[in-house]
Amino acid sequence: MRPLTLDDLRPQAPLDPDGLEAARILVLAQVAQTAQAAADGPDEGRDDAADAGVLPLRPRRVTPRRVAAMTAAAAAVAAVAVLVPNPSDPVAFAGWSTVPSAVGDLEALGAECIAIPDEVEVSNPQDEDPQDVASRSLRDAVAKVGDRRGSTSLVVLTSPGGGFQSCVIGPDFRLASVVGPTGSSFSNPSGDLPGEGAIGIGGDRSFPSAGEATFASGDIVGIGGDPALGIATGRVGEGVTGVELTLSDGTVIQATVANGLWAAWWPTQDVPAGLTPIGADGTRLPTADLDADEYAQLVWQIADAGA
Amino acid sequence: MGIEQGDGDAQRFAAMWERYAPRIQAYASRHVGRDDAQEIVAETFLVAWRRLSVVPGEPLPWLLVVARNTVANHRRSQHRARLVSDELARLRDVAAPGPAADGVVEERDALLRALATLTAAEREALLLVAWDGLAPAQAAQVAGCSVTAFKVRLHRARKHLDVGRPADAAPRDGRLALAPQEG
Repeated sequence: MRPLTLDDLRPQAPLDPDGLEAARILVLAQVAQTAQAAADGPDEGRDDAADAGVLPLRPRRVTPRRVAAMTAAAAAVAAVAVLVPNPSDPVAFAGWSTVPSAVGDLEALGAECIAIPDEVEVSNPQDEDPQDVASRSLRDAVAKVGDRRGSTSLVVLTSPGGGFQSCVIGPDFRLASVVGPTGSSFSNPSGDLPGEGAIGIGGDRSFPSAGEATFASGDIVGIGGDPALGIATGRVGEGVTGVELTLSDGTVIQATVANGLWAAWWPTQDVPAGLTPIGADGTRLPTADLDADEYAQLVWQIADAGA
Repeated sequence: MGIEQGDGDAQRFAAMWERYAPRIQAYASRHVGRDDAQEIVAETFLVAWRRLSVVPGEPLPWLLVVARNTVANHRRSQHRARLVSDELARLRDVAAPGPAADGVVEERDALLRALATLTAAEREALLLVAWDGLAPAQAAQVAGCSVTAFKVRLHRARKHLDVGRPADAAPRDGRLALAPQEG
């Protein structure tokens, strides 16, 4: 007799008819509720959330402004092209951990960051906002927070010119990323990753209230390869001393928090899905869900197109 | 499905439900168990309903991607250690009984036990192909990696599954190693 294989054990459908019927009723109820709400009149927040693919089944604490900004940014950044010079050379993010280690000399890392050539390839330069062009320069920027994991660090700088400016510095890889006032993100990898796709994730650049944290910007680069690289930054409000960033695969990363900012990086193409501020006494404050579906779909489309 | 829209969208959605809801349920059940699977199925299809215009003609990989994200969000709120015993229980619950023959019960259990001790990524690679019936390119889309990376992962998973089939196989995942072995 031949050995048993996994094909022999393929689940027989329907696995749980009662559960399936319960799910069907749940879907019908939600669809009916949505239809009724639409008939009752417009609701700006709800419509924005629905457009962003947000489900009504889970609590959501993201402002409409953020949803709109992130959705718009998704469309905008898809047009940004990124060159990777040596796709065949592997990059090792050795020693990465969900918990950061001491960053060391932040000022020196900031100087190293500024020294990275600021060359950006934009597919439609004529459409670029002049403010974005101006804010790309890293001159006069000051390093505010450094997130070190293994031998690679993410450094976030701010400058009088505008948006968050960040870079990744590792033994084999360097990346400069600038977020302009309109929320667009530009990346300039000077190292190499196997994958060639990239997206920027715009967010909320306002200053959060006490006890809150905002997602300001992020990038996923090296999409379609292994490893890829994800980075994210944001601000923290008064009383927030820690931030946990949850990725779309469920991984929870402890971000580095300093000078009113938080930062984290990770060696995959998973997208940010949630943000939990932590109070000084360890209290977990209200979590903000991010639009993981929207960006995850974009990542997979890019990965699929490059396959 | 019973959504009274009376247009092509509603009909398409109803047909999609009839054909694919059981498969999404099977996928969800092996990740979160039967009790929570219905919520995953409902959330997945609500996303499909809202975004019907972008659901591709062959919707299963797309639906599985949404289900995967929903499962990840679900796990985020659980913060539970993933134990071999839990994985094995879910797999036993979901897997078909197998052909009727002497010794199949023991062989089925050994195979599922080996499957449970793989890393989550390797187990997912095997089952996206063997149970969900996806081609490698489709499965890579669901797994969130390149086709090349997926094929490598699948190859390794098959090797590890073969090695792990003896009943005394050791866990291969650091987290899973914390779990007591059954039997």
